[in-house]
Amino acid sequence: MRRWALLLVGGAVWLFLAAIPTLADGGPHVAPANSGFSTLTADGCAGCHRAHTAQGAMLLAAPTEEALCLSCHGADGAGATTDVESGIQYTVAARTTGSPVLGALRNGGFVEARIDSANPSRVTYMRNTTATSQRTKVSVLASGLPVTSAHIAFDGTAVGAKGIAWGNISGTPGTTFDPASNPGGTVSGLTCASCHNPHGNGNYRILNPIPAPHTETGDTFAAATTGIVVTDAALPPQDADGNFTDVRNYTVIQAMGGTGTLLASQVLALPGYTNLMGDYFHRTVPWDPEVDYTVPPPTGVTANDAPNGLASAFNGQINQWCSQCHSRYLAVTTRPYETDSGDAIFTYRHSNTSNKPCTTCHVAHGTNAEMNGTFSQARTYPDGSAGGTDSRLLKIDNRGTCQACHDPTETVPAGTFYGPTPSPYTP
Amino acid sequence: MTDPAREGLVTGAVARSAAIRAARGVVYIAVIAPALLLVWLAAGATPAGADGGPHVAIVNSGADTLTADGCAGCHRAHTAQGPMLLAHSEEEALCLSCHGSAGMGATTDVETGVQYALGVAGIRGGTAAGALRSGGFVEARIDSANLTRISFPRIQGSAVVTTFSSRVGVLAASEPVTSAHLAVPSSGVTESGTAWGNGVEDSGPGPTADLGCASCHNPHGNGQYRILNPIPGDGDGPLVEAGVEASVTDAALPSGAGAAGVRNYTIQDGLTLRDVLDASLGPTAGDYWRRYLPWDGVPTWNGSVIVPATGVAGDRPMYVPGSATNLIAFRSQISAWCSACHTRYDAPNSGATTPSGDDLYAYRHTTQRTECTQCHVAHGSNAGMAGTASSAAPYPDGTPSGSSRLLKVDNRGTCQQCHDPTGTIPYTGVINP
Repeated sequence: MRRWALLLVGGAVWLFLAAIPTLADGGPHVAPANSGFSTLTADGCAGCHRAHTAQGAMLLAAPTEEALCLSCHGADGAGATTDVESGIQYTVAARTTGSPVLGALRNGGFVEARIDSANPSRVTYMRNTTATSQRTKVSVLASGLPVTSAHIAFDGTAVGAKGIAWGNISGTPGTTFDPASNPGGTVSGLTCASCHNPHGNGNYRILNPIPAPHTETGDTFAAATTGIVVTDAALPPQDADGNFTDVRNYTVIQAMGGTGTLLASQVLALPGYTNLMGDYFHRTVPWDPEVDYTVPPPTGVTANDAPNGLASAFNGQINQWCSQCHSRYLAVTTRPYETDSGDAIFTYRHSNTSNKPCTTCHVAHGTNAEMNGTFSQARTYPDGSAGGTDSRLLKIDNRGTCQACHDPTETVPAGTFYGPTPSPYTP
Repeated sequence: MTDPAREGLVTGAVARSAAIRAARGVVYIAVIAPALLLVWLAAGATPAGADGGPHVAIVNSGADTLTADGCAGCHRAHTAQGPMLLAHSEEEALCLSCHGSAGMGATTDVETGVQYALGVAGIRGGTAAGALRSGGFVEARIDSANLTRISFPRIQGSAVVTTFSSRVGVLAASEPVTSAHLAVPSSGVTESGTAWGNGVEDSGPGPTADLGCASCHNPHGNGQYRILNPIPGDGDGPLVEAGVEASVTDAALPSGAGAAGVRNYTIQDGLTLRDVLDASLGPTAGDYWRRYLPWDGVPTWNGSVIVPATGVAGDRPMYVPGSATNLIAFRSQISAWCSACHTRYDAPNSGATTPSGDDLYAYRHTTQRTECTQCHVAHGSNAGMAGTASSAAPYPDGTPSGSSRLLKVDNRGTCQQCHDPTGTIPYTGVINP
């Protein structure tokens, strides 16, 4: 009861403090305000902290970090357009039941997600004169489904905390390996602030340059030593009083290159806009640009994923960032899939180069993809423990993720379309 | 048409030393195989009676589903133990986890050259159904020393001459192979390591080649007979791969329940394993030679004219008498396929008398009238080469070898299955011995 009261209070405080037009963004998470750069009489601290009567560690006004974050960003929150529990972004921060949904969040949700993981759409095209490849779209569901894996195990979900940062190792990500069996570094917990700096830092999604899971004595997690910056787009426009007049677009709805959909207002202005637009897979944007699938090289115009508007940089940067914890998953050398890394567990690894960053196959928050296949649900974790139906944050049921790019049978001709026709087709 | 993302996943064979392979093989057999077996048993490797198992093109290609499950049976994206993201350190080890003598996930045991009936749980049972067409990599059941041959007439020009059909039967128990296309760790075979005849004219005996199962077969399925790769090869290795595909037509995938849903991979007639079991001829039935079906259904001489054969001429895998869907193109297609690697073995009917131009493979036995698989098995043979000449017949590079060269008959009995160079055996249905 007290927790819910705190949530309501927190949300109401934000409504008051923000006094922000409906589409305000940034909220309290803006570096210039909290750093002292724009003001040395900042007000936002009082929104989250208590100097002498704090209820949670780090002088938080709420008993737990999650409770505080969810007071705005939760399903019942009322202080942010993003609902990270349900995996959706609303058009208004002061949302209530029935508030209009802008679209599905790129990273799913911690409790539910709207990934149409059972019905991907795929078209085969000529990559070059002799080889085909695949373009796949993973569409958006009209309503959420319970997640089958998540980066944080929220109460009430089927997700269980693993306590290991798979692949973590002290050293340089992607080049330091262990010939002895070493699945990763143990952690005692992962919280919102492990990955995000709630005070803002100018980075994409306010990601911490050095992520920091919660560790206690005995844990073996090795923190990175060099920070990784994932470049962010410019802040939304502000009025004369410094209030934001628009909100970032955090959804899967993306125009090619990303610059045309950095803001919620741009999304709403898209021709034929619906909140079911968007492609979770976003290997390329748009997912299907081809005019003639049978003519190599590909003639359609498309770009890499660019939620920050930087199609040339985002993929490489997000790879580096994920590898700050999952060190040995970084595979950007020549042919890591047939080059023995020397590691006992992460011996041969799928490449992350080009348009295959971590975020092509995986969401960061949670997914509802089902692992009901015989083999997919029998896969163990890197430490050999049973994985059950854990979907590993994948976006497609079973191992449809593989088929999203590969046809190892070499029997599907260019121009072949499988799966439902997405509606809308793009974006 | 290839998927560059796989880059040799199917046709590539990673170069590795024989010593490392042998060592890993020992470890594999002793430690990993039982574990893999348990995984397959627990995972219910294939639905009871289904054929193809995970090797079905329409599933893996995306044609049937874009949420395929089978990938997870063999691959790991980030924790792979073998090249091409295999879950296991050796390609052969992975294949043998189902198709080996200790494997239980497939009816075919390619190590001992036997196809088994289905077991109670829908996986390999304990009863042998028949001998595999291609022998085995460790043992085979070819009764290579005890053949039966029948003479029959054929027209040559304006004359009637003698030729023969034979039956090469099945042993009751397997014998160690004396040659094999792959030297799996538990066999006594030493690989020649050379793709004989591969390459352009006058390029020598052939390049070295390190083969794996996927050099010839696409484990993801591809609709081809025996899921053969249309362009077999060794990936980035020295073998000169064909520039055009060689397709070998397959029979339709069986769809019945139980054994009716499993292909017949034996030398016996029948489309499915059910057909073989229903015929109740036993595991020693069948003919490895298959020049005529049945072996003695040959033309006869009535004193004045040749009476047409009661059987059909030429091998057809999974033969069903009278069926309109028998693989009648098999013989020419399989020769073309074998020749994709053994390039200069491909020979016209005049090959024995007309020089090819190659300084080594100058005169060659026809592969048009007589397909490669008439004389040779593809996996391994237990034929004996104890004869003075046969035991030292040189490889194309001049190295003496007692290898049986995948032949089906001891010494050079292969020749005698079609030829009587003495001209003393009449074409009147003489049966030898």
